Amino acid sequence: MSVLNFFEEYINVLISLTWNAFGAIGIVALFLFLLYLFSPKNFETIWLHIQKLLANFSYYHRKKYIRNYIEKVTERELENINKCVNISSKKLKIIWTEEDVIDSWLDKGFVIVKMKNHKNMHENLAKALLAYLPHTLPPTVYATIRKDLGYGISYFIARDISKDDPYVVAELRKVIENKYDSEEFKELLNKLENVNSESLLIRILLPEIVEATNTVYPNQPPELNVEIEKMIDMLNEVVNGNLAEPVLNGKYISFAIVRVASSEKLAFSGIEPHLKFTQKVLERGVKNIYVLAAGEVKPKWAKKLVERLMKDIGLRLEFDDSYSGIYRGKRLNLYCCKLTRGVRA
Amino acid sequence: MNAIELEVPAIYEEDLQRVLNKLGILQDIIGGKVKCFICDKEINLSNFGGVVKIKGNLKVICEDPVCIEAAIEISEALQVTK
Repeated sequence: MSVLNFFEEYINVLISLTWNAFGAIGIVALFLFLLYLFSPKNFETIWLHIQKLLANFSYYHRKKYIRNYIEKVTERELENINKCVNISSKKLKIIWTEEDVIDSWLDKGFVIVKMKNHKNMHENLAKALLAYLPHTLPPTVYATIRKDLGYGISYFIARDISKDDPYVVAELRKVIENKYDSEEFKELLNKLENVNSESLLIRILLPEIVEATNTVYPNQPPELNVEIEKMIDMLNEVVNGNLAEPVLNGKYISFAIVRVASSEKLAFSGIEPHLKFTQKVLERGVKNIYVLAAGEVKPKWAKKLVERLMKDIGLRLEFDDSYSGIYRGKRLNLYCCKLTRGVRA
Repeated sequence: MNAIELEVPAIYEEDLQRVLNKLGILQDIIGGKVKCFICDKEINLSNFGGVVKIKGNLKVICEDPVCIEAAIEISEALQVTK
């Protein structure tokens, strides 16, 4: 008997025992227990739905659901972002203040916001994210780069956390446009929007900014802001498809992007041209390499390329991420990875 | 990495009247005597956005996100200078 058969038989016995002892309720409880054990994230989602249902019946469950929804949504989305770059370790925690404790929270200097009932979760999430906005990036980033740049990027992180909830997006946009009311800032937001549309904000822009600010902190070199603006312009052009071989080799920010070629080109010349390009930019002193690919086949070629870059050139893989995203207006399978100079490179 | 918590204190709308009564501003809000300290809009129970204490004085904010964000910024700046 294989391990799988034994496991299947064990589960069957467990189900029949549960059914005989507790009936349908027991089966549901067993399902939730197994889900909790083997897939905690799916369990959390189902549990939130159960809490939402219970919120219709009691005051206690309404408060519990509102708090859990905001905390879980923000935590989960931050986890996804932190896979590529460690931006924030701050976990958002909703504290219900009632009449007995409100004075102590006011004395601590907190703004205490009103949350509406469980049918207004877009509004509630927007309010919580307003409080979170100045904490989305590491303190070294806020301390080092220009305020409008930091705030503009924070806005997109908050949007990502809300999964581009239209209500949250509109409310947060209103706030930041009011804060930095200039044509230049609107243009910056439009470029960041374009960069974020292909998910390059958290996969290239932020890792580079975090790395650079960690290096320069506590100094605030003005050239860093210039390089960040150059990087935003460059990534904007990459998304627009106007740059074939994007390289930025500045004093603080130094990287190149390798976009895996079309299947026809790959069938004709393989991945050798990409290897040569990478070798060439590394010789010029570039520090980091990002490999991007979109579609069904190209991500597979990208992974082969990454293996060769690590084996032949000695690059070190910092992260790789396969995800579903928008590329040239279509939802496709995408791949992005960051490689840095290893011991040999 | 250990997660640090960012606490966001909140009042649930069903608790609002009790909390405002405790703070002694419920009747003023019902009577239309309270204005948003950022935008000067008249506050009522439905457009009440939040409350903050600045230099010992209670300030009320409307639910416009611009006003809430401005109040958060002021309170964080004051907490840093404390």
